[in-house]
Amino acid sequence: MTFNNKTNNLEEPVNLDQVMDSLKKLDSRNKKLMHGMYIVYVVFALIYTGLLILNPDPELGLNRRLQGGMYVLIFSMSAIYFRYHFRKNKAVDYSAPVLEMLTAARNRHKLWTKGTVCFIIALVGLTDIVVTWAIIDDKFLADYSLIIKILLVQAVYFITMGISFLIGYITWRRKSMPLVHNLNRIIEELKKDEG
Amino acid sequence: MNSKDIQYKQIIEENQSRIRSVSRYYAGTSDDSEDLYQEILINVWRGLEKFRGDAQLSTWVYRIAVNTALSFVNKKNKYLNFNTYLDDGKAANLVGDDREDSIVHEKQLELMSNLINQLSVVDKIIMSLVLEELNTKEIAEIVGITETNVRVKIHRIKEELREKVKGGQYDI
Repeated sequence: MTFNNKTNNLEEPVNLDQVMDSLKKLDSRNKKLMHGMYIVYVVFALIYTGLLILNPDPELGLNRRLQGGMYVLIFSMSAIYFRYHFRKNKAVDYSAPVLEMLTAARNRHKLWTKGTVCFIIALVGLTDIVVTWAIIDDKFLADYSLIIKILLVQAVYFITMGISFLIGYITWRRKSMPLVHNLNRIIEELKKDEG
Repeated sequence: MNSKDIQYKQIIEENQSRIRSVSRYYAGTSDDSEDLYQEILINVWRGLEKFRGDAQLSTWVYRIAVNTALSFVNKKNKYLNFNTYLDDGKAANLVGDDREDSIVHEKQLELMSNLINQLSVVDKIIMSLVLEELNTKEIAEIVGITETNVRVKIHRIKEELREKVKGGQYDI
């Protein structure tokens, strides 16, 4: 964001009223954006609920409705988790001491945090259960025995997950890893002469 | 104007020169410096509600300015390598301000600038605050390390600079 009164003369005093006006507009825009995202998540959750659980279609059996409920749960979990992270990342405390700010930045960019691991295990586990359940329940793969069906679903699911994680890891390695290493080095150097 | 507006206006008016100094030190071109200055203004605004008065106002502003500058540098270079840009007046404190011989003075500044740019990121941060003539307590509060650590670091940096200046020709 740049203010309208941007000038190349660094000694020229800025028009603070104009600056504050721009800041208020920015704050208001961010609030609207956050609220908008929240509304989108809620609407999606409601649509899924309507389609997969409350749908009056008599052919939609109990199993399908329960699976729908689990999809809604997975979707809501993801929405809440990403919203929490988005807020956390937006709320960087620039008024904290430099060491504290750098440590927080390092932790934000780490590949694994306790919270992320727990969330991923829960999400992958839950999705695995519901996908396996849905496919076993379906006419698809009807000629195979239950064990074969489960093994096939697990193989495809975990290969897909593996590829997703690999893409995520490569992206992290390219974008965040150098920063994490540098932040580690800087943090260590800052602490080096502590008595 | 509400109380936040009034407080913000007052803080910026009182600390404008500090913010300008940090912006110049961490940013190379005048455009970058201006962008950084404006980012600092935004972060001061955003941080205002969190200000509890635990630290001195100037220390609080410096923290925001330095942290914003580091984030700004990081956007441009993920290795956080940055060149410092010495303010003429402030750097004179390091090389002595004998302005009788402007050629020697200019060379001293250039030399000092080169030497400071060879320092590590941490040492550059410390030097930026030394150049602002802050005392060790203030630097410790801004950086988040102990005063002893700050003193050790400043001593080491000065020794390192002294070593690099041929024959100890310039007083630092």
